[in-house]
Amino acid sequence: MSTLFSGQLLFAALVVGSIYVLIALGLNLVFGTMRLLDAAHGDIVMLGAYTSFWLFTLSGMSPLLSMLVAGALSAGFGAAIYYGLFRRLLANTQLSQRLEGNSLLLFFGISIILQNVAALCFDTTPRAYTYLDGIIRFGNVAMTGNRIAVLIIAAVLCAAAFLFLRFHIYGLAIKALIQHRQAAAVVGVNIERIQLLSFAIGFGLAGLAGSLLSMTEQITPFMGFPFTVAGFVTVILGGLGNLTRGMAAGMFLGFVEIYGVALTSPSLHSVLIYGVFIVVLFLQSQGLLGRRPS
Amino acid sequence: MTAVLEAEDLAAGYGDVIALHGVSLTVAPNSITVLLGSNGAGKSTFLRTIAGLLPTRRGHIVFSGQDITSCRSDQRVDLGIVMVPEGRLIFPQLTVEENLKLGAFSPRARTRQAEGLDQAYVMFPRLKERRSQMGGTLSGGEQQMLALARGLMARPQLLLLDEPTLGLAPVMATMIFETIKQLKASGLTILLAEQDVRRTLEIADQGYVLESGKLAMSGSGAELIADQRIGSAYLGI
Repeated sequence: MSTLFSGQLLFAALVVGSIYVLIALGLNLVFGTMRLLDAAHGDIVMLGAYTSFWLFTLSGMSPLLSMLVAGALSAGFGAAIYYGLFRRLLANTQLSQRLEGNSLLLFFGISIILQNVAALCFDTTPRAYTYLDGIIRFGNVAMTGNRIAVLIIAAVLCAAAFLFLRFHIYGLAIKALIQHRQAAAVVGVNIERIQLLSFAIGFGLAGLAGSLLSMTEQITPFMGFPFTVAGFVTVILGGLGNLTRGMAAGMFLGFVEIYGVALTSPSLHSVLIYGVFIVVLFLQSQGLLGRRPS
Repeated sequence: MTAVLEAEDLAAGYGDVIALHGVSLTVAPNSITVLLGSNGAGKSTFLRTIAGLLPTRRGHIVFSGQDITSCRSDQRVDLGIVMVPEGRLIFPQLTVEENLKLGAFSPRARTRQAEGLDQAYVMFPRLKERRSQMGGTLSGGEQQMLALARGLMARPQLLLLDEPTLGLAPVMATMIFETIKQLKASGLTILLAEQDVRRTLEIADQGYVLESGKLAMSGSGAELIADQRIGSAYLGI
């Protein structure tokens, strides 16, 4: 029982939770502004992880630096997907009525392509590298340097995203578009530009999250799917399209996962995540932190 | 004097339904021009087409001598055509102040956002009291003030007002009409669709009556008030 109150577990939960926050925030942006269900979001995480892995392995570039490359490449990929696939789909009033279902199919296709291209190019051997793996002690809590780095960077990114959405005029415009698309057009928001921005930020955050994960986890072409699932669970827990609540829900899920596994067994990892999800949907269909319809 | 707005044979609609069948009208600078007509006559459709929220099916829109028929809605806001929509369409989960800041989103207005905010709070002290409250928690009248103030944040040259007194208490409606007169006095051009025909015509320089998506009548405010057909159809005389 004493392990439950150890700083070790708390630290582990914070690290996992902060990754979920980053992943879910991107998913939520893309869904909130355009009603697109990005089933390939975890695969962008995978691409970010490979970017950092290869840059480290081939050129010795620190992941702390290559995460910027991973973020930029993912953001660019998001922008390309938006222009190539979704811009016209969103503009077409007839197609946009079935947008959620269509987007799910399209993103599933992208997901399968990305996974298989990665498997073809990098083969399916799990990869890893060691970086900042020295152990640092705070009192009786032992942490590896890379996990501390993950936590700090993720916290900075979350804070930056939060401040951007709160105070920047483009952040406000993103929230405006989520809340009321027509009203956003009325005030003169360039909707296409905000949609592009949401894609770029959402995918960029996923790439950054992957880059951070690569420091501590094994990388495979199929590592993304569990993150897609965790991302969707998080987003639904927080209420779809609700950015700040979604961030809180990501942290919550990290705690459920780490403490749940500590209390039961690692083999129940997925059961826990789905279990929480189903229980919450039963109790309150608006999401755990969502609003009840008034 | 060139017209601020010229609509030529404008047609628009929703899906297969055509709501506007070729309407032509002009709006003179620094005037209050009103659109009258029953529900479904096409007033909102006309305003939404001018604002660029609905695509133009046929015809042209000329603003200050420039053809803007193919401009996007955000480009039109940047040119100075600003709409205050029916039902207000404020952002319910943003604060009053955030709603106002978004009003100044267009590049032309953004640089003067702080100044605009001060002016809005002078004009509507109630909004200043409520500045950090969520838009959705305001009363109907306050939401209408917010929608109007948000529109003014964009520094309009032509203000499109769609049913601004709909569902408001009489005191609040009077205040809105007073505000509209003040805005004209300050140099704005206003195109107004309203269901309160008498009061609307009293402040109108020019009026157009729409019926089933077509122009049925037009004239100065005084002419229309005196017109028997208007009297029997809309004023209950």
